[in-house]
Amino acid sequence: MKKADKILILVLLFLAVGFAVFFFLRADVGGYVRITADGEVKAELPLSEDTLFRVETDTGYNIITVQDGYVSMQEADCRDQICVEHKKIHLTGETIVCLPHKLVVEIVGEKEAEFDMVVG
Amino acid sequence: MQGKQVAYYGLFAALAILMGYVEMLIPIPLLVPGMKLGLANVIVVIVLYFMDARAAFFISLVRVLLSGLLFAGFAGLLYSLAGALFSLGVMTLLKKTDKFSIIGVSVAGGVFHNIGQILVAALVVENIKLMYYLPFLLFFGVATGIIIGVVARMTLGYLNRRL
Repeated sequence: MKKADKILILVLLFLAVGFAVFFFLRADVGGYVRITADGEVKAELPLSEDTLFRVETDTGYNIITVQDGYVSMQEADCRDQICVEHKKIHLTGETIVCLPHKLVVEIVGEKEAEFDMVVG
Repeated sequence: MQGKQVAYYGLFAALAILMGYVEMLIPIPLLVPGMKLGLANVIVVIVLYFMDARAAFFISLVRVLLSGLLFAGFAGLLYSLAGALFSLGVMTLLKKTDKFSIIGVSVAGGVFHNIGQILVAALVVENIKLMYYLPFLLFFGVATGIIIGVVARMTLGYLNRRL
């Protein structure tokens, strides 16, 4: 390994730790879960209530569950099933993404739920 | 193009596709969307050093298109393509500076593969929040990049003696 290699690796690891600290300091247990399909907000549900939510898009359906303050993707007819296998989430900023359906499930804080943070 | 070159292109393209397939067979816990071992990157790094950037570009392109067609379906094609080309671009630049060894080049390739994929994913779902996973992907990209660099260097030593 050359010197430049070591510098590169150190810088990347430093960035990773920096970002991680930044995200985790900001993260707390979220208040709401926001479900967005194709850039459009479909629902904002409180984490305090256990619910099942079904989203229909042109490409298929997803069923999102809220239970004991945790959110997970219970079922989806997407091809890769990455969203279904994703661990359940509950901290602000955590997301479950179903790329084939362009669907994002994200945890937002109490105040943040008022604003639409979707870009584009 | 000489016959030998044609044979190398075919051989490395086939190996790259095979590596992608082997990777799909290994079940890794999916903590983070976009997390990949990047085994196919071993071949791309080897080609970059054993042949040149042009060859690495075409072999990446063939690999992504054929893997998409054979296994993954075209839906994931855009992400793979973005990741592969972004990663190769950065690796080519770093190699040109001559300041980095194959390990540094491979680490940059691994990390930028992940960043390229997550950028396209963020654009498609129109949600920049996907950046939440960046630290994991950076860390993971560094780890796999080092391993891939070491493997590529060992393989290159063998290739240069034999071919």
